[in-house]
Amino acid sequence: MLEQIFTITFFTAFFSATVRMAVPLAYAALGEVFLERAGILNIGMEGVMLGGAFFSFAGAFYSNNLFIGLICGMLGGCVVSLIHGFLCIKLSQNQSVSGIALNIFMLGVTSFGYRLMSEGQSYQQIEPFATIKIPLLGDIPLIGDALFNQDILTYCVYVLIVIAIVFYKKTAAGLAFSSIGEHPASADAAGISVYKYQWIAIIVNGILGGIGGAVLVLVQTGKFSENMVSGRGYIALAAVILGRYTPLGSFGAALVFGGANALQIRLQALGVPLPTQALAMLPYIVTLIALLGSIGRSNEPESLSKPYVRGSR
Amino acid sequence: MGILEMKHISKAFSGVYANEDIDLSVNKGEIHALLGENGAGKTTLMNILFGIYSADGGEIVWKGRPVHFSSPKDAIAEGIGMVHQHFSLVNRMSVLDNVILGLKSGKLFLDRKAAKQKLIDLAQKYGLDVDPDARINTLSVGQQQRVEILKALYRNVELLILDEPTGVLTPSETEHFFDVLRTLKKEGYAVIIITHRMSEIMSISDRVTILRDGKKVKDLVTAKTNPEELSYFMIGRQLGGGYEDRKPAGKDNALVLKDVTIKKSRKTPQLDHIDLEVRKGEILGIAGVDGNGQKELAEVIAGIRKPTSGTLEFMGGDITSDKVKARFKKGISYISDDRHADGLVLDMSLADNMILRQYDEYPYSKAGFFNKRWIKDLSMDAIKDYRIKTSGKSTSDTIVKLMSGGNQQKIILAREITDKANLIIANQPTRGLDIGATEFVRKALMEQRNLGKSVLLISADLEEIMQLSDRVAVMFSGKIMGILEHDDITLQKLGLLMGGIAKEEEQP
Repeated sequence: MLEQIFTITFFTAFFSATVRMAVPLAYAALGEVFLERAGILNIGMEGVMLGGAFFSFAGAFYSNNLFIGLICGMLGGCVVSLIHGFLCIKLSQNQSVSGIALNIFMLGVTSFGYRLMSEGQSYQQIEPFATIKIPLLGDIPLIGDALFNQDILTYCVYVLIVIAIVFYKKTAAGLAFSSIGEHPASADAAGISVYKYQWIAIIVNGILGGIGGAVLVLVQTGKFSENMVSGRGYIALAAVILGRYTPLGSFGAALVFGGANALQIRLQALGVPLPTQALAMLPYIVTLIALLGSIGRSNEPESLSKPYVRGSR
Repeated sequence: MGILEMKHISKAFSGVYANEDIDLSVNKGEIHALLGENGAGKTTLMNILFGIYSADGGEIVWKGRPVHFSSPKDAIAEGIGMVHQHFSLVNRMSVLDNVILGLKSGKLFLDRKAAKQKLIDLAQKYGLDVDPDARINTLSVGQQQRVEILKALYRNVELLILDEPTGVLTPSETEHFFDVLRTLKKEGYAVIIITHRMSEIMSISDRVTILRDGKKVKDLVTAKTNPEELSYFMIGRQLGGGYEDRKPAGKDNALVLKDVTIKKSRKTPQLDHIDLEVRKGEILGIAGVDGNGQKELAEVIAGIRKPTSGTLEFMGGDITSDKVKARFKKGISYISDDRHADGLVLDMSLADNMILRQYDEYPYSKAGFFNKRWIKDLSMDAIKDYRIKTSGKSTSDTIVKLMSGGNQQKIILAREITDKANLIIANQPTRGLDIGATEFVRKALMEQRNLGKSVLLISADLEEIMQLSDRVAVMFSGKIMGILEHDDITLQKLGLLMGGIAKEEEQP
């Protein structure tokens, strides 16, 4: 058994699967970082991803064009986030309740939509994005294949992470967005339109979460199935906490969770003498352990999930 | 014609006027004081000017042009800056980032280097020393205030509004702060300073506008007035004199602390072998610079903290192991120094706050249900006896958060000063209150004393300590440095003890 694991082939395949599993999480986590730094918690990320997955599938299926599918996925995610924004920003409602309601709602909406579309069958299939191998970098042993022999959406996430890092460290807008999550009244006093920025963050959250869901369809499976996000939205929330609310950190956390998932699939394939259900628990156990480990070192924005009402004491 | 003219400003909150037909005129190079009791409408007026509220009526003319600010952003852009009583700083960001927050440079990336240089230059010019790279939550309150002022100056304001700026400062910090203001004045800035401290108005301002109950009462030139006149206009009546109608203090001890120590492993003790007696019918003052163990002393007596060693006796019985509730039943009341943190539940009503201590006791609670009528009666009595101002029809259902600091403090007094209270621990009972409310609180404490109850008065206000106390104990780094008798109290002796220098004859 062990000699089967400690081989170059195993690790090459393992790393490659890790990155594949991590990309949807990375998108969702980045979107969530952006929103939580602006003070709003979107537990509805699961619903956002489901919206992204379903609408990207529907868009790509009917138009026969993956990019139109991608745009539909972004819009689908966006609509879900906007509902959350309306409840949380406009009506100052409880953000946890709104998020959970959206998750349940979107599970119903997408399942129903898919029934209508497929009339009870599930034969529809689309041709996913092809992988593009980057010359030279793709030939690096062990990790070359994992990082640089991927699809376009994976490459996009690298770029977005770098942009996000620079955005928070070097730009005035980045500073403004972080200040809102910390102390919105101060941001307001400094002349930052808190609500406007929160709406922008909601939209970014929806687009990125939507892409996260779309990746599952447009890159990984080529089809939609009920509840296909299956908890990834929640793991993305954990990745944000473990990543200490930073773009790079959340990407790293996404890799950890992706790795746990990839590992359990690999181990199943090798025929490890454990029930598959026990192995399938691995990513969630890693999530719990990771959160336990981050106790007391929280970097949580001080005003996270507290609705900002101007002029209230 | 001043740089700022506010004319006939009115603003009502749910039907009650906070500002009614107020005029205010401020000149360039002038320090203009806005004087009034809490709830007189000073802060509301300034929030209107700064674009936080919009006025129901009236006109603002800024630099000769009628303006209307719909947000602080507009006000800042036009050159008006405001430093609030509660600072608008982001705790976990650096000083520099706080200063440049919200500024648009027109460039893609922040130029922190240039910003830092500009900040350092400004700081030097006005004597506002602060480390640009320090995180806000590592700074003292005085330093944070400097950051707030720098923030405004960095934005090229011409008018600076300061809401109760000295309430959080030590006397020497205040002196330094006034120097800064004088420099600003020389440079041609207009400054509006909201305050209710007469001595500060007299020493720093050029003109004073006095508000009372939401209306403007008087404009005065500082040089041509005096504190008596100011307080007359502010309060609308003459204040009572001193508190010399004292009955002689009792001889018996109400509370005895023996060798009480609070020490967390290896840290310096917060309370260091305290021996203290509070007699019946006396006010024992506890003086000292904030943070020398006063809060711990109050809490160890109230039962919130446990002593590491030592014993407490109250009315002859040992209470060392009694919980807060048991001690309250035995007659120990506690007025906390932080109304918002542990004195009141801000989101609950006046009535609910009134029964916090006895919510589960007869007659307020019967068989597990509230007895609304008793609670209402209790609250209405408190409102009447303590002259608590509530909002319109709500009376005892008014949410405490919506009330002014003075009225909030009165609720605590009404709750804590009960018939069975034998010892009242009053920690900074007048902090942040205006003259009228302060007077009220002091009278109430004095009254209790003359009824034969004991009062432990912890205060950073030496004037208050000297006026009220029968004896004064001075605390320094967790120890009692010395105890002075009423006739023996002088500022100089207090000052020495507060600085940790014991009387010579007591030195070993």
